[in-house]
Amino acid sequence: MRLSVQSLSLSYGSRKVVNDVTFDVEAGEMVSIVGPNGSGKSTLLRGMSRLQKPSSGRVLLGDNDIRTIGARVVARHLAILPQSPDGGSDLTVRELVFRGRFPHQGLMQRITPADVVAVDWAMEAADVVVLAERTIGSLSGGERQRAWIALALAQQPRVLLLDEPTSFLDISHQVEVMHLLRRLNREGMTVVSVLHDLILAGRFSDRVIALSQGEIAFDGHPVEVLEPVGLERVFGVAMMVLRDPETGMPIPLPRPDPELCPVAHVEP
Amino acid sequence: MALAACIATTAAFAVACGGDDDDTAATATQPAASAQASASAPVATYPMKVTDQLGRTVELKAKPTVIVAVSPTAVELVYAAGGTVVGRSNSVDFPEAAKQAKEIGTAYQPNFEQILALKPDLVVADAVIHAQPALRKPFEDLPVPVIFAGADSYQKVIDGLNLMGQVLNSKATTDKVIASINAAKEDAKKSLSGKTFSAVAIIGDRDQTIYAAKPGSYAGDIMAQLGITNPAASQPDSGPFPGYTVLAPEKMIQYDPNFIFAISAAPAPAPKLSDTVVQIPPFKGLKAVTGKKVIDADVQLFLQAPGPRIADAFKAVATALTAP
Amino acid sequence: MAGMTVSTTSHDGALTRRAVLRPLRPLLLLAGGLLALLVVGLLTLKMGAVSLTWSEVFKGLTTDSDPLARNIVWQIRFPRLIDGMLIGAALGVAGALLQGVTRNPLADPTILGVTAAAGLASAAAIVANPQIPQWGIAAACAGGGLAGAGILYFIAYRGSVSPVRLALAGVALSALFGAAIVGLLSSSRTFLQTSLGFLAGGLYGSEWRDLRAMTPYLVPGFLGAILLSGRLNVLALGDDVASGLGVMTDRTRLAILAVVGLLTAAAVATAGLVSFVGLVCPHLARYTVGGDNRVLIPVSALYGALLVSSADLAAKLLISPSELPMGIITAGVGAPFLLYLVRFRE
Repeated sequence: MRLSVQSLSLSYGSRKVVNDVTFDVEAGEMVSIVGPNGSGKSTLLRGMSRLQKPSSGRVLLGDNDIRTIGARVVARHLAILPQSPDGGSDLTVRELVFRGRFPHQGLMQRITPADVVAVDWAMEAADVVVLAERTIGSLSGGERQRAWIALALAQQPRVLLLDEPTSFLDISHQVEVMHLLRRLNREGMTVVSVLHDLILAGRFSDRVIALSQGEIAFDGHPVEVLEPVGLERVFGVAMMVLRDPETGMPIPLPRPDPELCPVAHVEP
Repeated sequence: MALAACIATTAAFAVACGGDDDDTAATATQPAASAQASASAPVATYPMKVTDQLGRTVELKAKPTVIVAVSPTAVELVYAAGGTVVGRSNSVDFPEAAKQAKEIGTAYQPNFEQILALKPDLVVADAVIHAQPALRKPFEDLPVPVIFAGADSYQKVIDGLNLMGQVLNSKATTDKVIASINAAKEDAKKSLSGKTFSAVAIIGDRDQTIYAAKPGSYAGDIMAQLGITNPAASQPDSGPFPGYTVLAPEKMIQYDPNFIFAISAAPAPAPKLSDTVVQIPPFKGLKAVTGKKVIDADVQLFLQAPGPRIADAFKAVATALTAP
Repeated sequence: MAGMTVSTTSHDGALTRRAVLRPLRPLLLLAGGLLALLVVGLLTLKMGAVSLTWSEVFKGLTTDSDPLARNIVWQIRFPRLIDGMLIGAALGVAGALLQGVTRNPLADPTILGVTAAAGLASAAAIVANPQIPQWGIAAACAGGGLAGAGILYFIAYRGSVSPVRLALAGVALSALFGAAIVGLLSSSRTFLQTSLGFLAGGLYGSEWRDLRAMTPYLVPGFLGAILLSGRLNVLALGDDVASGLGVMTDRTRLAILAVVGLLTAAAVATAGLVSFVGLVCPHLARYTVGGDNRVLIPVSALYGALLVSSADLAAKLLISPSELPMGIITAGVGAPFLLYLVRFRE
C-alpha cells in the first residue's frame, strides 16, 4: 500500500516545521528519514500518521486521505510507534500487545480468535513470547522496545512508522531491532523509520530521505545519496563515507579533526 | 396601685403577644408602666452590683439609659423591664419600638465598633448565644458594663426577667411579666390536664435532615413544662443544634406522636416544614399526619427569640393541642 | 532439540493455565463482592434506629400486611439502600474514569472540583427557588457537573490536555467552587446555619423520589463508562500511542469527563458532597484486579456501592437512634487511605 505525502506542511503554532514536502513511499520499501536535530523529521512522521494535523497538504494511504477515512480505519493499515512511549508500565507484555487490537475490535472490545492469532503472531515476530507475562516496567530497554513494536504489529499494519526505534539502546539491541524491522520488511511490510544513526540508516535502508530545515535535502538509495558533500550540507559537519567491506554499503562518518582527534601510529 | 397593676399587666400582655396590631399600644404604655413601677419600688441603690446569667459580677454606676442589646432575647428582656434600646442585632423585629434602634450586625457576628459608636452605658449580650469563649471574650473586653442575659428554657426566661428588673431597677414591672407568664403556663396546663399528649417538635431545612427538640432545647422545655410526652427526649444530642437530635425517619414512625410541631427555620419563599413533612412518603401514615396535627410552629416563639413571649408559646401549644 | 520441545510445551502449559485463571479472578471477586453487598444490604434492612426481626423485614419488603414494617423497610430503608449503592457505584466509576484519563492516582471527582461544581449548582438552584422539586435539583446538578467537567477540560486544554494541568486546574476549581458553596449556604437563610448533610454528604431521608430523579443521569453515565472503558485502556498508553491506534484522544477525554460529570451530579443531587469514595475505590480495584479498565470500572462500581452502603449503615448505627452524615464515615476511611497512599506509594 503506497503512502503518498503531497505538499505536506506542518507547524507548531505559527512556527512552520515541515515545509511543503512531497514524496511517495512504495509498498514494501524500507525507508529511513535522517536529518539534524530540529530538521522536522519526527514532525514529518507525525504528519504521515494522524498524530499531527497538517497546516496544508495531505497524506494518502492508497487512494484515501488519512484525515478523511477515520482514525480507526487508518490504524488498521498504518501503525506508528512514537519515540520512547512511557505508558502501560504496569501491564504485562501480553496485555500491552492485546491493546494493539483496538482498531480491529468492536464497541465492547470483545476478544475474537482473530485477535488471538494476531497477538500471537506479533509477539512471535517481535520475539517477546518469553516475556509475555512480564510487566513492561520490569523490561530492559531493548525488550521494552520489542514489546512496543509487537503492539504496533498486533494492528496488522501494512505500513509501519517508527520514530527513532533504536535511541537509548545499546549496540546489540539496536541491531536486534533493525534486524526485526528488516525481517518484517522482507515479509512485505512497508517500514519508515526516523533514525539518528547514519550508520544504521546506511546499512538497513532501501532509501534514505534527508530533511534539512523542514525540506527534503536528498532522497534516494543509500549508495547514491550518502556521500560527503550532501551529508555535509545537511548536517553542517565535514563528512566522509567508507564502504562496508562485506556489503559495499556506505558507512558515513564525521571527518576527523586533525587538531583534536588522536591518530594511531600503525606501521603500514 | 390597682391602676399601676392594671397598666403594667396591659404592658406585659402587649409585650408578650405583640408583633400584631397593638404594637403601638405597647410602646405608648411602656414608659408609663416603667415610671409607675419605679415610683412604687424601693429606691434604686446605684452604684449596684449584679450577678448576670453567666455568673459574672457587674457593677453599674448609674441606671443605664443608653442600651445596646445583641440578640432578640436580650432586646425583649430589656423592653419587658421597661427599658429601651438604641442598638440591636439585625434580625430583631419585636417589639415594634425596637425596630427604630440601630442595627449592629447579627447576633452571631456583632460589629463591636458599631456597638461602641452608639456610646452605650450598658450592653446586653446573650447568655446562650454568646456563652462560647470566642464571642464572650470580645464582649467582656468592651470598655462599658456588659450584662449577659438569655434563655433556652422557661426557668432562664424567668431568671433573665429578674436580672433585667434588677439592672433597670424595675422589679415591679418584671414581676408582673413573670406573673403573666406563669398565669399563661397554668392556663395551658389546666386546659391540657387529664389527658396525655405525645408531641415532637422538629426543625429542618432543604438539607432534608430533620432535627427533633429534646428537653434541653427551648422548644423541648416548653413542651416539658406543660407535661407533654416527648418521645425523642432520650435520644442523644447530634447535629449542629444544641439540645436537638437528628431524627431518623424510621424513629419518627416508631414514635408516631399525636402532634408534630414543625418549626420552619427558613423564611418564605422556602416551603414551610409543616407542608413538606406531610409529603414524605413514609410519614403519610403517621397519626399526626392523618389527623392533620402537624402544626406550623412560629420560628421566633419556639426557636429564635426565647424570652418573655414564652407566654404566647404556652398559649399556642395549648390551643393547638386542644383544637378539635 | 527434544529438551527444547519439552520446555516450550511446559511453558505453553503454564501460559494456558494462567490464561484460564486470569479472567476467573475478577469473576470470583465480583461474586464475592456481590455477596458482601447482599450481606450489607440485608443488615441495612434489619438494623437501624428501630429494630426489626427478620420476619418483619421480609414482610415489610414483600407485603403491606404490617404497616410499620412496610413503612420502615419499603419506604425508608430499601430506597435509601438502593440510592446509597448507586451513588457509591457512580462515584467509584467516576473516580476510576478520572484516574484513567488524567493518569493521576490522586484524581477523583472531589479533588478535581466536579463534585463542588455540581454542589454549587444544587445550592444555587435551591437558593434561587426554594420550592424546587428533587428532579429540578438533579437537573441543576447535572448542569453543574457537566459545566464543571467542561471548565476543567478547557482550562486544562492547550493543544492537548496534560495530566498535570488537569490536576492543577481541578484543585483550583475545587477550592473556588467549595468557597462559593459555603458563601451561598452562609448568606442564604433558606439553609440552616450548617447544612451538614449536604456539606459532609449523607443519605438522610433519601427515598424513591431521589432514585427517580437521578436515574436519567445514572443510566447514560454507567453505559458511557462501560463503552469508554476500552478507549480509556488505550489512552493509558499515552496520547501518541492512543492516536496511532485510532483513538480521538481529546474527544475521548471530553466524553469521559462528561460521563464523570453526569455520574458525580447524580450522586451530589441525592447525597451532597460525599468525598473520597471516588478516590479509594478505584485504587482498591486496581490493586485487586489490575489496570484493565473493562474490569477495573465495574469492580470500582462494586467497591463504591459496598463502601457507601456500609458507611451509611455505620452512620446509622454509631449513635443510634440518631445518625451521622454518611460522608463523615467515608472521609474517615478515605483520608487515612490517602495519607497512606501519599506516604508509602509513589
